[in-house]
Amino acid sequence: MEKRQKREGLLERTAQVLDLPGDVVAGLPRVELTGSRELRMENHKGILSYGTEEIHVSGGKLILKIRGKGLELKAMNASELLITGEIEGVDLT
Amino acid sequence: MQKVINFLRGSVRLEAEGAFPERFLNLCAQNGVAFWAVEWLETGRVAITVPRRDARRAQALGERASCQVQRQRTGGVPFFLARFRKRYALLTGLVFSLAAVCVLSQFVLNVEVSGNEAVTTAEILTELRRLGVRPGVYGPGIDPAATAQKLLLQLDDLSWCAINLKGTVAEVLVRERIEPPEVVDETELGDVVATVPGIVTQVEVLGGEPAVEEGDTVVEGQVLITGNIHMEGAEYSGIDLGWRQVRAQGRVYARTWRTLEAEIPLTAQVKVYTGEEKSFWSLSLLGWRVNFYGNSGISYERYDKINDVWTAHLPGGQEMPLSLTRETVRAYETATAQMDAAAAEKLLRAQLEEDLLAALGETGEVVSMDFAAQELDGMLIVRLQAECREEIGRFVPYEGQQENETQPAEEQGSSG
Repeated sequence: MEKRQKREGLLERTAQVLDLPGDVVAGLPRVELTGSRELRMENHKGILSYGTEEIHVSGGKLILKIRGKGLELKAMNASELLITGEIEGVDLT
Repeated sequence: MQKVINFLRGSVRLEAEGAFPERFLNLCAQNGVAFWAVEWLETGRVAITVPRRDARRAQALGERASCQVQRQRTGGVPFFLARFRKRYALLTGLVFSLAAVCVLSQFVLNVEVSGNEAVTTAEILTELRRLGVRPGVYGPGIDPAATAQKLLLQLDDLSWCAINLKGTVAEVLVRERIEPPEVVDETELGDVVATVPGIVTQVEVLGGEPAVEEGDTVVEGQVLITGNIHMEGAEYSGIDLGWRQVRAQGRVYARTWRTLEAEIPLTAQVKVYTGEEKSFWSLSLLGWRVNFYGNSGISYERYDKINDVWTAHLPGGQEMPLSLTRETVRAYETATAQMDAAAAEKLLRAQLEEDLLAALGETGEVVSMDFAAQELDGMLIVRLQAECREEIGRFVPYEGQQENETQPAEEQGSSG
């Protein structure tokens, strides 16, 4: 586990140094917010909690907390997900 | 578009209940189970919609995530069709319908004839019926090539025929025989004589010598172009080569005057309907006629029979071999009625004009017409005097015709 984290950290740094896209090289999560009604996330690691006002999504080393009203997981597969609703804020922890 | 696809492939609404329903969603996503319309019901309960084919897998994944997964509702075409799985009567009807379509499409329902002008379609259809091609016959049982050959043998006026079976339609293509041109028998010798008296206006000689000139008055039977040609020798030679007989040919136009007469009684027998009538219904299917009136006869002494036929048509206008016929028999009595003299005269005038045009043929034309009418002994008589321009020549062969040879002038004197 520790070895894997080290490898990911190395890849992340390599991507940063070589100015390469982190989501492609290191598999980092990529979040795309369209207005305040749609959030698309790639390379997620699963949903941690789900509700109409808050959804927590794992992004590997970080957790994405989406706050809002009437949130809904519109579609999801192994690497991508789409959340719709009135998004009020996105926190990274 | 996606909604349509989901509707076609069917979907299942699942409700998962457990300590961590998020795990259930993650497992579905990781295992490639597509889902949508995620609804968080309350803590520990989530509802999702999955495709029909993934429903069982999703339920198994729910068990792995320690969730109780239950089907809430189903939707889409496969579930709609599955409802009819146990409706055996409906399925039987469907099977019969499909079988009927498959079997009936093997039978000829319509025979279409095209390419004919002189030979009537009814004539061809009658002959085809004799040869076994008619509505209701089993299509694969027809040998198109052999039937076409037989049809050509039966109908002399056809030169080519093809029968194409296109589904339930037997398409019959025909080409008619072209009449050979009339061959003038040059060995037959004779004169061209006048068929009617008149004043000659134009003479066109193609064979023989003209016997009349423009402006001559001719009587019926007078020779217009003679087939006896006098062969003169060279000038000042004093030799007479004799006479030669040929076939006189040509056209002679003349002004002619024709008088035609027609009469009609001024009283006539007319029909007076008594008001009694009967209707007989019958149904015709694939050439078979079913009467609905049994053996009931017609008791009227005099009656008119009116047939009304209603034939079933396909939306494209194609006629089906199914028709309903109503035969109406209307009784009448005859009564004597006075004819309208003006209407009778008009009728006779039209008839006389028609007769005149028929007598003149294609080469003649009417220059002027004059009608005169008179009533005599209960009859209306109309007389037509017309001035015409027509071709009056008619070939008349010589009696006791001889070989075409030059004969001495002395022997030729009596002929012609």
